[in-house]
Amino acid sequence: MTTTQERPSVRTLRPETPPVEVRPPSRAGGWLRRHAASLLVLLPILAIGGVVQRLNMAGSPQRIDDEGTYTAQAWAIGHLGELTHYTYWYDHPPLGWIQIAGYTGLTNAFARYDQAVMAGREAMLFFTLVSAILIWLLSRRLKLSRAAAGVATAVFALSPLAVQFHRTVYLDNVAVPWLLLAFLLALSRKNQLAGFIGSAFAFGVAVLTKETFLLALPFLAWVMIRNSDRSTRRYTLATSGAVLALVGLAYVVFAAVRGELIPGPGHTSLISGLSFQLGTRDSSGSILDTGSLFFKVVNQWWILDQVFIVMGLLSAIVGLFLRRTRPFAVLVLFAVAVMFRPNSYVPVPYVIMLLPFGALLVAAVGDTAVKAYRARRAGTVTTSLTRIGATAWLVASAVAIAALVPLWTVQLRGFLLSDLDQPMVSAEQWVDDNVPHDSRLLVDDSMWVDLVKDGFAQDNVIWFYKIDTDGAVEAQSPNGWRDSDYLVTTNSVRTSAANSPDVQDALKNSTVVASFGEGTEQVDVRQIHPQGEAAAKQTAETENAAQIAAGTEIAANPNFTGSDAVKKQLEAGQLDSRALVVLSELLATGPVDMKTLVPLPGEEGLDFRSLVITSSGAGTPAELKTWLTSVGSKYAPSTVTQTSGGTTVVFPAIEPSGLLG
Amino acid sequence: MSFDPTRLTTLAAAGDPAPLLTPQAPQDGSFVPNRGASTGVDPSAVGFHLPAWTPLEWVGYSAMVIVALLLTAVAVSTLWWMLHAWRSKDNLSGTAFSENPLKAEHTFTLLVPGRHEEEVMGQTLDRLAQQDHQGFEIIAIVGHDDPGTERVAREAAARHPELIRVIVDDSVPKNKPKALNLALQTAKGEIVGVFDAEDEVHPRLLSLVDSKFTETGADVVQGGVQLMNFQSSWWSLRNVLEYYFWFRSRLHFHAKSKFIPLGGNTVFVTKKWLDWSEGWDAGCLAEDCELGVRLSSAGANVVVAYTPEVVTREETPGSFTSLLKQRTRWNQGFMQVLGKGEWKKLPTFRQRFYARYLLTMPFIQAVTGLLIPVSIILMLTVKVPTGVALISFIPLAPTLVLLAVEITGLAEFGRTYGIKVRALDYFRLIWGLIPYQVFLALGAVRAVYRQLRGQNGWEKTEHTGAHRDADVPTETGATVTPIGAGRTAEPQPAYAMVSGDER
Repeated sequence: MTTTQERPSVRTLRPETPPVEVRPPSRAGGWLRRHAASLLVLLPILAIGGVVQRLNMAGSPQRIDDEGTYTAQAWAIGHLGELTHYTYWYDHPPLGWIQIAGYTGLTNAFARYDQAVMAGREAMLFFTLVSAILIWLLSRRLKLSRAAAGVATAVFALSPLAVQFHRTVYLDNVAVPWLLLAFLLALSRKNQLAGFIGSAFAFGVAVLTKETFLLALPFLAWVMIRNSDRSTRRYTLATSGAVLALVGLAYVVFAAVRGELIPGPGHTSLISGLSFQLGTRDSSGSILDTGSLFFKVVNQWWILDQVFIVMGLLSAIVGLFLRRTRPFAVLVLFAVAVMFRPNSYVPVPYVIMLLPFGALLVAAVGDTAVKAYRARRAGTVTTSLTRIGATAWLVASAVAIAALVPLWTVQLRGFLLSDLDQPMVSAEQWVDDNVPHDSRLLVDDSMWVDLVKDGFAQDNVIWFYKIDTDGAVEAQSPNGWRDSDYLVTTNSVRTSAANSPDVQDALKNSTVVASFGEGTEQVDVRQIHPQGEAAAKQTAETENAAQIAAGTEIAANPNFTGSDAVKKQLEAGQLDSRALVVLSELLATGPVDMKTLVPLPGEEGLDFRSLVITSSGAGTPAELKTWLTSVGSKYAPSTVTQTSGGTTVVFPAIEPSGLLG
Repeated sequence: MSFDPTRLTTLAAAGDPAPLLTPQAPQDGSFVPNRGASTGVDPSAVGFHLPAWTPLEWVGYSAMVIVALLLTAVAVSTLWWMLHAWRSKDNLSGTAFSENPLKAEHTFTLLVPGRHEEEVMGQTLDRLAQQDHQGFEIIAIVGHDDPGTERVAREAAARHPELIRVIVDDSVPKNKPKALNLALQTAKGEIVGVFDAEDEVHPRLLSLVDSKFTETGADVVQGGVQLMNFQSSWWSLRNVLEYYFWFRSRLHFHAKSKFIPLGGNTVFVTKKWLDWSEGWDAGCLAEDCELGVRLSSAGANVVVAYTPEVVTREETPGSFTSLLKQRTRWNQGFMQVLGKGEWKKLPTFRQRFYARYLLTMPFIQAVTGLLIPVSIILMLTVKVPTGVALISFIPLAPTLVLLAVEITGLAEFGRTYGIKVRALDYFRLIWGLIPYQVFLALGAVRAVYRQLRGQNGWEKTEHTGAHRDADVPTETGATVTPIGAGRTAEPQPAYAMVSGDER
């Protein structure tokens, strides 16, 4: 039944339908055949880029506070039915984490990871791959050769600078594909009206994902106007302008509908959120001041990939003189200039928006140089400027590649092998194991979801930033930091403490009960002493004196045997009070031998609460275990395990004070 | 013999350890740790839940959402069709007559019915006679009870005896399709064109249309018609833009989708097809639309062409009331066409859907026009959940884009026809948006009312000749050749078919 029925036609003039041709191949097959050459270049790059980003994604870099915030907000959408896990305060438009929530919701990513942030990082992988495809398409639209488009895509996917930031859960990574899509559609030739409307919409989404992307607006407009056909220009531009304005207006309407457009008592507002972002951000300092935040931010970029930064900037300068790359070159140089303006605030992820354009420019300028070089070889008349320029650029590129190989190898090795997040994982585990679950915690936001999932009450896991910035949290903690029991410090907490009196106080009036990692990766669990630093110190001193006294007595007990090292540890008062009490009880039943005390992970330098003993007085190891578990709740060990070396007794981490006189 | 070297052992007995010291939290009275009001994550609260609304709220909110989405769909489709011509460069250039017309290959009969239009008809006939085409005749149709117009028409025929014939229609009551059908009986051309008595027709039009027939193998060619007097009043401005977007852009979409309501003039149909259709439906108030529907349904190839230079210029009705009457007549006509059901013969579902949608459009428009202000009021007065409120705002988005497009269209119109658009015009355009929607709604409601009452007569449409204003562009700087210069700017009665019950 393949014949088509001819409709009876009144006319005779109409041209006959062409004779039926050979049945065309299936659409998918035809598509594959037409794009085989592109796919052969693009797919391997995507695969390698994807693997590099995904492998050890959870290990490096260490997760940071911001990642936790965006992840927790995405989690809140799916699990709490709220836009954020705290009061939404218009710090960023919510579209970014709504998209992350969309990804995690559709793929059930939160169920796949013990650390919620890693679900967010998986979403970043998705957005990066989409961006990479769009870079390819954008490069091809700008008439780059397949090889050059491949270079752009590969640099975007593999530069260590890119890998570091693409792995991190930043809203910028979600906005980049939208921005690239906006540029791609702005360059559409057929169906320009639909293309421009789509471009405006995509750009609106990009800005509502990360507001800093508004910076690209003049350049998108430039590309659009330059590409617009004269005859339809007025309509295409007016319509797309209106669409963009409407997408922006949607955010305003959203705020207005919630009654949160204008500042007022008892609620957050769009205006105050905007004035926070625009007005109150502190300057990042000067690039010349090596102690400034600016220097630190830029230095981090620089260390990650000097070659890409140098080549990207050089390409931007050369790109100014090439018609097809000019808007992108100006965009990059403008964004860099904005960064260096006086009193600028440079957000750490600022570089993310520049990565795709840097990669594109490097490839486009290289492509132009190669084509100019070939044209000369082919005998086409060329100017001496293009001849010299092309040769110089090809030499520079060769040098760059030579420098790039060792740099990338070292950096990417680090990304694939080092586990910088282990201290965070350990600290979370420690808190879950050792901190009573009815405690109130002040934490880095990157642990928030995990601790809530561990069973801590949502209101008792407080993102440290909120303790004195969110009215709802303040109302629950009328005594400020004193209402919290523990503080988990990360690099973010330590560096941000300066802005928060409550966190500063909590830091000052707390003592470390566990510590993991070192340097910037160090994560401490600190017990807060609501009665204050001085009182806590006094209690600790009294306690320690009692521990020394009791330890010395035990060391001298003839029933006690142990190495000299153990006795020294006892005499130094390093054994946990409960252990001292239990030990002395046990000594009354007969001889006790104790192995040298070893700290538990994360508890170096703190009282030993894990001991390995053999006791003949209490009978068999099984009887000893029964004896130990029946000493009463105040002294009871948390675990008693029998090993070949003796019985390992571990007391709970949090030591009640005043057990010893 | 045991001795007791450790004093601590005396303080506590195994199995029942008493505290060595009673631990005491220091009480300085400065604070009470707050542990109240903690809400953990209740596992049952995880995930999405249906909101706890009352049944009434469910109904109300659902209705709001559905209406909002429908309105959005209507507004977006209207907008998209309105922008059809400018979708791409190729699309736009495809809407025009060819720049270099082919050699003439067809003969034409031009029908010009006139009624109480002695002021304009003579000039219209003279101008038609100046067409640079070689093979055409003109038939002027006048009523037997209208000696003034008949005289003017006969004088014109005397000036161009080889081109113009006059036919007197003595039927009662009179209407335009009857007049056209009468003239059709003696038409000799291969192609029949229709013009109104007040139309300003470009002298090259026939050559271009002839070429279009040859190029495309068309059965029907619809040329552009353009109202000109956008500065007369706020509603004339909107009426002019309606025509502009209709003929400039949207009609091309309908032609492409193979379902098209034809316009009342500057429409050219092959004699063969008119014989097939037995002319126009004399019982229909929108005989032009009806013919288009029947031709579309039968598979005729309809081509639309718009080139600004050669559009047929017209004017808006002279008063708001006559605009309302005209709109009522169209709407009633659309209802008749819808009821007649010829469109059901269209071959594809898509075409039938478009037909039903288009013919219902006046009434959808009425509802839309009324619902937009209603929804704004609701939004400002009724407290609804954020999500519902946001959805109810969505229809505003295409409406605002529409306004931006209309502003652009007005600017383009002014530029194309060399008329300076004043700030006042833009201002009128913006504030006229809602009132014009109300007007459209009024027209629709009135049409339904009259249709139900069985009032199917023609209502009078007056013309003032404002499109023939002296303010037409001159050669310098204008993109359009002035063809109306020298005509009177006085208000004139124009072609009008009036039914008995309206007189």
